[in-house]
Amino acid sequence: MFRTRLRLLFLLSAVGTAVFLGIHMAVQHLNNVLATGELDPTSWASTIGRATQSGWVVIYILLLVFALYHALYGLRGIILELTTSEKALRAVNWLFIVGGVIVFIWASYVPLALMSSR
Amino acid sequence: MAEHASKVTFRVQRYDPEKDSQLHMQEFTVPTKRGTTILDGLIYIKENLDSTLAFRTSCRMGICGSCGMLVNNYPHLACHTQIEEFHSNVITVKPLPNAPIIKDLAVDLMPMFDRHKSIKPFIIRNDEDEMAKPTREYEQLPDEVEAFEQFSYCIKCGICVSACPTSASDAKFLGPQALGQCYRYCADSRDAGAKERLEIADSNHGAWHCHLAGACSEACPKGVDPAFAIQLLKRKMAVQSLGGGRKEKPAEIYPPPTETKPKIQVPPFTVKK
Ligand code: FES
Repeated sequence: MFRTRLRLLFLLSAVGTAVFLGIHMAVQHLNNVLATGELDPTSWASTIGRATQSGWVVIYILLLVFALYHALYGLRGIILELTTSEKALRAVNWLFIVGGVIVFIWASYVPLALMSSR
Repeated sequence: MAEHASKVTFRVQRYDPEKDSQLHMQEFTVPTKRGTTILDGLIYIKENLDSTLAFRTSCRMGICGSCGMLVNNYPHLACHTQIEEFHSNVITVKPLPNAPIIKDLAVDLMPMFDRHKSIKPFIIRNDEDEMAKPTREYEQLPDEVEAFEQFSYCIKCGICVSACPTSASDAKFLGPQALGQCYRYCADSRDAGAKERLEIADSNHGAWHCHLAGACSEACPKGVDPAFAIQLLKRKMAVQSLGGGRKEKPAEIYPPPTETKPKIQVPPFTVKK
């Protein structure tokens, strides 16, 4: 039931993306309602400031994992509908796995590096 | 024809692979009266206007599933659809989409039957002796029958597959017919083969490829609701993949061997072979 597990992860990643993206959006744009005390949460300084706090780093990395998985799995589903060639599908699978890992390392490096340079 | 007879134009898609290089439409004028079906019209054409017209039919009463076709661009059983329903003097008849055309309105349903066969559409048991030589029936309560009864009305007409947008774009997709029947057998309390069937539905072109457009259920002439069956199948697969699923044994034979009366002896042949 490998593909069913992948599908369940897809659903889980949708929930995860909604939750963590929701937190991110709320902090960025509902400053007045949440009264976070930050003057401009969308400014470069605030963004870098959050990226040096371990709690925020965890949230951003989880958001990255969920959004990346959800996007790549969804895209794979669309491609699967356009081709019936098993060879092409295998190539797409590997491309997405390798590409996904590279994007993950690249995108999570920034907050991790910032946090460790604190 | 009766007194209220009127005339309708049938625009029929024609294609003879031995003669035609392209599909083309041909028009016929068909007399109709109240209750005339699309199939009656086609039979009239074949008997009176053009005997080369090819289409499939058998029972003429919505049972055999032979006469599925596209009527005014929507899939119907020709024998189960009256001309009056369309409130139009022009009826367009084409073969079912998502299946190769053999000739005119007759399509090749073998790919659908192959996919149907692939999901093992039969009761799978561990008691092979009983399966090979059944002694009695398996016990099943009305509630247990209800769990799959609706889905067992499938007549394999191919209408759901022709309406399915995923079948149109993915030739390897198992399709609503096979997936619906996959659930039908998995939900049967006499069956012990859910595990192997769910593995088949777990393929790249299996149940998770269904986008729940619901076109299959809307078009199904027997009210089978394959889209609902696929949703239930997905739930079964999700539960199974998390280690859940039916734990109880499949139904036993009934009544148990000790309560059965001895079989009536068949009298010997009175005529020599
Ligand atoms: S002829 Fe049998 S279903 Fe129409």
